[in-house]
Amino acid sequence: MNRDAGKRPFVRLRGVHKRFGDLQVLQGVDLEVARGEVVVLIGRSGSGKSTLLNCVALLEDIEAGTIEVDEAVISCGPDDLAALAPKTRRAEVAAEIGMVFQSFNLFPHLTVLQNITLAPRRVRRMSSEEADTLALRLLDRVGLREKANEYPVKLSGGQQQRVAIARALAMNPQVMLFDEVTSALDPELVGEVLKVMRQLAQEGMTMLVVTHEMRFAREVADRVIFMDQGEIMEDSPPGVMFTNPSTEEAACFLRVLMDAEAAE
Amino acid sequence: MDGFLKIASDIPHIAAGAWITLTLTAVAMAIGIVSGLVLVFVRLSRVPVLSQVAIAWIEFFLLTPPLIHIIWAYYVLPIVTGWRLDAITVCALALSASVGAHMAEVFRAGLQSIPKTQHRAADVLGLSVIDKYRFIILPQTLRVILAPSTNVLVSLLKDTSLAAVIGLGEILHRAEVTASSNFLFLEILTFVAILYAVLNYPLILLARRLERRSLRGFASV
Ligand SMILES: Nc1ncnc2c1ncn2[C@@H]1O[C@H](COP(=O)(O)OP(=O)(O)O)[C@@H](O)[C@H]1O
Ligand SMILES: [Mg+2]
Repeated sequence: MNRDAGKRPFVRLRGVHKRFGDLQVLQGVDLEVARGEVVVLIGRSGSGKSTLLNCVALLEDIEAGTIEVDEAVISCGPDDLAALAPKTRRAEVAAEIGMVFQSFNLFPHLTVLQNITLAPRRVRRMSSEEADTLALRLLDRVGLREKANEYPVKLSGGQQQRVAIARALAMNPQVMLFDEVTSALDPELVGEVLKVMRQLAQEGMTMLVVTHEMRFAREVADRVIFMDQGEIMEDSPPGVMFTNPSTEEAACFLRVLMDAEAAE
Repeated sequence: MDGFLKIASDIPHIAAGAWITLTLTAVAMAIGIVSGLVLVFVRLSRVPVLSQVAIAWIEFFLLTPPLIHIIWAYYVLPIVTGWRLDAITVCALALSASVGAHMAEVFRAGLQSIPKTQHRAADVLGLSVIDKYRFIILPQTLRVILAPSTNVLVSLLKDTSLAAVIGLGEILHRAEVTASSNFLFLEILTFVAILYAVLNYPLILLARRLERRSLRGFASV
């Protein structure tokens, strides 16, 4: 483990601004996530949660501020270019960031096994035997070893999402980003995906999770963050956020969400 | 049947034109595919000026008939530039330009049919741009474009008959010359139509099979 673990946050966003055209989507986001911490992001649709994760995953550039992971600035606005880590270091760090999407995004023309082994082979230069062994071990872990040679089309949504998690884990990430990974699933399939995520959290994975699964957030999160209109409005432990949120916006959002949950 | 007996002796001569027809088809397809790929990547690269030139080139050859390019390159180009190309070169180039423009559109539609999420999934795994296209984007694109590409090929084979206007000895030109000496226009042109259909039929069958296959692969992604 890192000697500095606990001292310096593993993920650190400072003053992150992002806009699409005239639409300001992130307006100065400051966020720190320690190694091994599980942080859940909640907020209305359109509040910028996905954009935040995409910026950390380097899928989007930012207009201002810095994003630091594992002590390297991997993304910044034009004013902070001096702080940016060298290109090779950025690539190293980028490979430590895993991400899972709402829509699974498995590669439809590749088998489950090939989906998992492609990046380890091409990016990590593993031999195909090594990569296969790794993939089968990860499939065991998500309970899908027997599907190794199936195409994604043949799998249920829950199974596809578990393969997507295994595919991300195959790159041995140090932090995992989850963007509403259960929102596209039928209710009876949500549990199997959350179970895998719980297990990851218990093993000490650093996780940044956008979800509307309030029970998961209550049980697994170290902190819950409420976003509104591209800003972090509240950052509290789940016990506080769900019982006694300090902002009216968060309280209002949670009331609606709890009512919806109770109605199910 | 009577009529066809009358032209039986002309058939080998006319059918021999199929070699030129097929050669033109093969050459124009090869040049067309390569130039179509170049055009589409230049176009999608969004490099200023270059990208606009590619768009203008594609639209020009999509919107104007290859017949005019053939006549222009054969009769007008030598007058303007003093540069004379032989008939088969003119036809190969004109048809290549047309196929290139059509293939560029087929490639573009294919590439754009791959959801952005596939790009994101590949990017987040750290694949290089080349690996992303090689292993993720192009294989999926290929399945989408097989059927429309075959349709371009079918049109091309028919369009080689345009070469007749500048006297290239492909099927239609040979047929016209023969018919104007023995006046058996009905029989000879009917035979020619059948000959084109016979040459093209395997391609159509192929297109249908590929279409079914690509639909199957993408039915429930
Ligand atoms: N690629 C994009 N181009 C333009 N607007 C975008 C893009 N991505 C997201 N947006 C807009 O940014 C805002 C925040 O979106 P998003 O981060 O997806 O919110 P959330 O995940 O919280 O629902 C929304 O208004 C959305 O329409
Ligand atoms: Mg979202």
